[in-house]
Amino acid sequence: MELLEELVEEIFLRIPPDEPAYLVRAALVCKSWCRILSDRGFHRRYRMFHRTPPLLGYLHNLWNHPSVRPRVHYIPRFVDTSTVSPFTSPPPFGDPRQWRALDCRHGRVLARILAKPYHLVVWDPVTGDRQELSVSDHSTSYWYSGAVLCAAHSDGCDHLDCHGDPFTVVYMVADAGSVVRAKVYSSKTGAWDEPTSVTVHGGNSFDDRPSLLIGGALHFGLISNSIVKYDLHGHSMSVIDRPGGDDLVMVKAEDGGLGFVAVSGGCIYLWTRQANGGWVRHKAAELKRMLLGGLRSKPHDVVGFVESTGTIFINRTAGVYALDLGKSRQARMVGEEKGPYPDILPYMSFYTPDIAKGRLSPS
Amino acid sequence: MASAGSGDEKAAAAAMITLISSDNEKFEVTEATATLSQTIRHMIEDGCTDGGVPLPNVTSKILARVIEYCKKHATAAAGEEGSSSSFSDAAFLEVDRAFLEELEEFDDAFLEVDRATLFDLILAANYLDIKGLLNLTCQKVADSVKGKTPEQIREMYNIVNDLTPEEEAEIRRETQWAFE
Repeated sequence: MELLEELVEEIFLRIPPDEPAYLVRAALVCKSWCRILSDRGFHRRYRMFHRTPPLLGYLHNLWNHPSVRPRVHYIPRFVDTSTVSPFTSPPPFGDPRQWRALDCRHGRVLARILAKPYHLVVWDPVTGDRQELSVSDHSTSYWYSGAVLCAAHSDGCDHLDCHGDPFTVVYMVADAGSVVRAKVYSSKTGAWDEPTSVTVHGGNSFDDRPSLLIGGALHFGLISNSIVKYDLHGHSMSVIDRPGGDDLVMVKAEDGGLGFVAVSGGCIYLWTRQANGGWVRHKAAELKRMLLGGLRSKPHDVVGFVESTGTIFINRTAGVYALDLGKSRQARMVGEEKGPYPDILPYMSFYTPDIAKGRLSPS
Repeated sequence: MASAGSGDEKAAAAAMITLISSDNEKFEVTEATATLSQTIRHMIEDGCTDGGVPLPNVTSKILARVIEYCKKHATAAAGEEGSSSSFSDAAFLEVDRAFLEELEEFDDAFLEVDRATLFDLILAANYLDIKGLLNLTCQKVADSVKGKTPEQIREMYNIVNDLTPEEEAEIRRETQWAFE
């Protein structure tokens, strides 16, 4: 290409990030392309240019039917949303029937290993790094949830490239009574903090949905129409009421606060909180305006939400759709499987590996 | 919309600038059109445009195309300024949308050029610092490599593969997933 290197870069910057193979294939065109596409400075500019890490796939825990033998509860899977993917499915944690994905944030995945000894794994699909954490004393409860996030989250990290940097894990366990405890692990110190707890009335088991991080606090849904809020800065917990209904998924509302979304009767509804603490429902959009075909499906469950983009995932007869609730209101199919779909954990990250690895001979 | 420009815009539109291509052809354009180029905008601000602006890196053929782009987009910019805050009712939004669609159609048609012209437009957009044009033309090339194999890309852009067979084999082995 008879273009200056700097202008070839301008072109490479605009190669879409949601198909990681495009950059890799372009790197095999010639030496100079390979060098540019492997350059750390270019990778940084590429991430800055696109700003938002793209959706590369999602994890979900298929709920196994009780009649299936051997009897296992979850079958975790990684579903690619790109045409070809650098990731393997299922992820490399040994027997897929013996672990469950809990959370996915800032390019990291948190899973709980169900075989003894019980422990947690933080896995980075891009770098392949995995770190095992023992959860020792209060790990045997059936009612647990957890979250993983970049440790520099409150220090303004943009999470465009914090792979390999320290992370934080918040692990929640409910006891047989009404107490929910939270423990926090810091990979910087390699240790768990002293647990903190809160009392929940009316049932304290967690729903199967991932947590939501907003305003410096993690929110975990309970099946008892409550939310346990864990404040990351103050290491304190509180309980807030949520609107009634099983199909509601936590989202970040337009004002930056906690909200909920659900689909009913072909419409998307949003719940936002009023000053008096009560919830109010708004009709946000009509599905038929955004999705083509397949309207006559079973319940239009919302199965996931992306914190960084406001995208929701909707389960349809035809498959799983990602729908931008913001300005564009664009929908696209990301998974083709039919049938009941469990909640999904969207995996967002740039995939910009060093392909040349400094091994190219001089041109 | 564009026709509803204020008095100031009309005054600005009246000021004309002469652009001189590398093959010495002269193009008279309005200041509003010329200042889509940050390079020319700075020259105007520095008062160095008397007697015309020589553009030794841009041929008349390419400059004519660049001016065509700038004229269309300068009108669009003026239209946006005129309509953004003051009119919010459905009729005006409808007109805005129609105008944006027309602009998109213009851009699509504008990009129907051969490879050499497209590269010349990228060089000119970069030299003249016209962000919209640089984005449009670079995106066109970026889109053209989507879903292509390295061989197809080389063929499309006449690029000689100077990776040694060993280097290529090793990289392919490590990135096999990308070629499935």
